[in-house]
Formats: sequence, C-alpha cells, structure tokens
Amino acid sequence: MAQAEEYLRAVRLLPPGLRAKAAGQTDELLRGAEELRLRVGQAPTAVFEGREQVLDSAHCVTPEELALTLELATRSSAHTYADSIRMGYVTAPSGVRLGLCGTAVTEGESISGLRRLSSICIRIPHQVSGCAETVFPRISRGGFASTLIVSPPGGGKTTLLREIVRKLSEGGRRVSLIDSRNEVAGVFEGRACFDVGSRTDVLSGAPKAQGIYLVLRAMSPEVIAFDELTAPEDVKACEEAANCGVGLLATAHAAGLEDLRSRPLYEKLLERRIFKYAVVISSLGSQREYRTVEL
Amino acid sequence: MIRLLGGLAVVVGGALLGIVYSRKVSRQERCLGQLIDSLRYMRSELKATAAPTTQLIGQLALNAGGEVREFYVNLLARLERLGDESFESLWLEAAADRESLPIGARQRQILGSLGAFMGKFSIEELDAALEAVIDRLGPELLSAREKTRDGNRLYPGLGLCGGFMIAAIFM
Repeated sequence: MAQAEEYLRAVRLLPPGLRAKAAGQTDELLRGAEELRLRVGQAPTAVFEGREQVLDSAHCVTPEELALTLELATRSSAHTYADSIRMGYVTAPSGVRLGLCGTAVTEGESISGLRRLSSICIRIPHQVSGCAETVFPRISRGGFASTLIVSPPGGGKTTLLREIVRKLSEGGRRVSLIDSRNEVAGVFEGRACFDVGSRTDVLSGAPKAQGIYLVLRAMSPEVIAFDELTAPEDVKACEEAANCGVGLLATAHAAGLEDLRSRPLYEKLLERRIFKYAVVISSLGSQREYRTVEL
Repeated sequence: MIRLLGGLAVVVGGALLGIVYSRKVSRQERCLGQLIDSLRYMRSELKATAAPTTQLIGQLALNAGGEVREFYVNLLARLERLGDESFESLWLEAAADRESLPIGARQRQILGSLGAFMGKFSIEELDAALEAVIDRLGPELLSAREKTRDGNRLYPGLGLCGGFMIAAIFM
C-alpha cells in the first residue's frame, strides 16, 4: 500500500486532465510503477516491470501540460530550482524527481537552462522497508564494511541505498548522506521526505567529491553514503575518506560485477580495495534479487 | 419652500457625486503607488533571497501597503487551486478582481501580463519582467497623480455646477 501512495504522490504532479486516468490504473501498476513518462504529442505512459504501458491512448500530451507539470513540481518557483533545471531534473517537495528534456539554452559550452520542454520523466521513489534484510547482516557484521551497490539504471540501487542508510543510522551510526540530486532523502525545507534514519546528516545538491570532503571536515561521519559513483574525482574522494577510516556506501551503474570490472574507472577502485562488498541487484519482473559478493 | 429645498438637495447631491468621484480617483492613485512599491519589494526579495513565489506572495499578503494587501491576500487564497489551474490563470483572475484592486483597466492589464513570467523563469528574467511592468506602470502613476491633483478641485466643482444647473432648470 505504501508504494501505491508513492505512485499517487507522483500522480498529483500531473495536469488535471491526466490525473484521474493515471490514478485509476490497476492495483498492480499502482504498486509497481517505476516511472511516469510524458512526451509532447504522445500518449502518457507508465514504466512497469521494465516496459512502458500507455495510460490513456486517447490523450495526447501538450506542451502546456508539461509546463503545468513543471509548475506544480516547483510550486510556481522555477527560479529557485534554476541549478537543478540546468542539470535536467527537479525534485518536487514530495521527494518525487522529474527528469526534463527540451531545448537546451547554452552559454559557451555549458547548458544554462531548458526551454520548450518536450518530455518529462517522473520517477516514482520507493521506500521499501525490509529490502535490505538479506544484505544488511553480512555487510555490517563486526562493524560496517564499505559496500558498493551495483545494478543497471532503474534496478533499485537508490531504494536499497536509502534502506541501508536508514538501518545504519537506526543502529546507532553517524551517517552523512550526500544527496546530489536530492533523490535519496528528498529534503524539502530542511526536512527529509523519506526515512533515512535519525542519525543521518543530509547534504543536498552538492557535487559528490566536494560533498565527501565537506562532510569529512564538518560532520565527523562514521559512514558516508552517496548515489552514483561516476567520476574520477569521486574515486579520489572515496580513497581519501577510506584513508580517514570512514565507511563508504555508494552505488554504481553496471549490469553486474564483470561489467563493473571492465570499466576503467571502477577497475581502479576495485584494485585499491576501497570497497569490501558489492551488492549486485538483479530484476525479476517487479521483484529484486540481492547478491552480496566479497570483492 | 419645497422647491427651494429640492433645488438645494440637487446642488448638494451634485457636489457629493463630484467628491465621491474625486475620492475614487485619489484611491486609484494611492493603490497604484502601493502596487508599484509591492512589485519593487518583490524584485529586491527575488534578487536578495531567491524566495519562492508563494512565500513572496505570503509576505506581501501580510505586509503590503493598504489596499494592495487585499490583492495579495486574494491571490494567496486562489493559490489553493494551483494544480487544477495554472499560476498564470490564477494571477490573471486576481488582477481582474476590481473589488480587491481598485485600479484602471489598462493598469490591470499591465499587471496581468506579469502572470506569464512569475514562477517560470530564472531570477534574471523575472527581474527583467518586473522591471518592465514597473516601467509601464510608472507613467500610469504620474498620470493618475495629475488626475488626482486636478480632480480634487475639478470634480467637486463640476458636481456643484452640474447640481446648480439641474436645480435652475427645474426651478
């Protein structure tokens, strides 16, 4: 039921003409949908079990509906979200994240904004209490051991990361969560929309590497957690944090361990043994299978 | 005697109509000035704190001067419907409400044009839109001031003269 509530939270961001149709779907879809997708000139869809299902074939999404969706997500204050819009996403106060596509406005070689939206992808966040039950005892036996969560995009990395952070925090550890895209904790006006534990300090919107250095200096964490390890500077920051004796919990995009090892960025990371465990997530329809491997 | 009293009543009525109209003009001028002040406040708050639109409107609903406060209070109440309607349509609706905002039709139209920008653009773009609206309302305020200054004497005088003439005709 909790997941259906999260779906309905995402549906509230849709324009009125779409809301009723999206809310009136089957219970199965309400509980399992991962994303809602709106594209100008196309019917709205929901991503369910890895596939897109049309929500209303008679409805063609209009540019005005996309603009209204963005307006709802930003509560008519796009100017306060300028930095994240520039990076192609917005996190609504409810913790729901919207990916944006449109015409990029550039200044020099960088994107300074987005105009004339052409599509919006509304990611439905899932707080799945208990999803770390099989993983957590092993990675926290005799003290937390640094862990890398691995899966392809949409595999449930963020959900597992959130749950492990919550369990570590509730278990008495001081966790610093670097939430670059405000997707893990969904902080709005200083309060986290998702339960990330009572001993978790959340740094939202900061680039990961800079965020790691900041929390190391400022928050004396026992564990630093962040989503999506993607850049060489992130690896360097991880190495320095590990040298300070801080545990690390991160996620990485890869189909599996072989895929991870074949990538130069992660190859280096694994060589240096910064992470002790990898949790590989496999999707079986809407179900997830978690495999913990010692690296 | 009755004729005399009737004539006097017409004269006094004419003068009162003139005074009421003169007050209306002066009220419009005052309201327009307060509206421009509130837009200036919005501009400076946006630049200084990048405050969300609803927060800005909430502040103005509490602190804006005199009758303009009514406009923001009304707008804030209308924002409850945000989601079912766009911000632009709610802003236009509030700007068109003559009860809460006693300004002229052209000034109302200028204010309404801001709805297309509020909450949709960057701070720099919003600032430019606010500046343009303030610049367009500035001459309106000058003209309203002139009208008030002249009207303070003119309209009661006209009303009085009109009353005399009507009274003279019927007597």
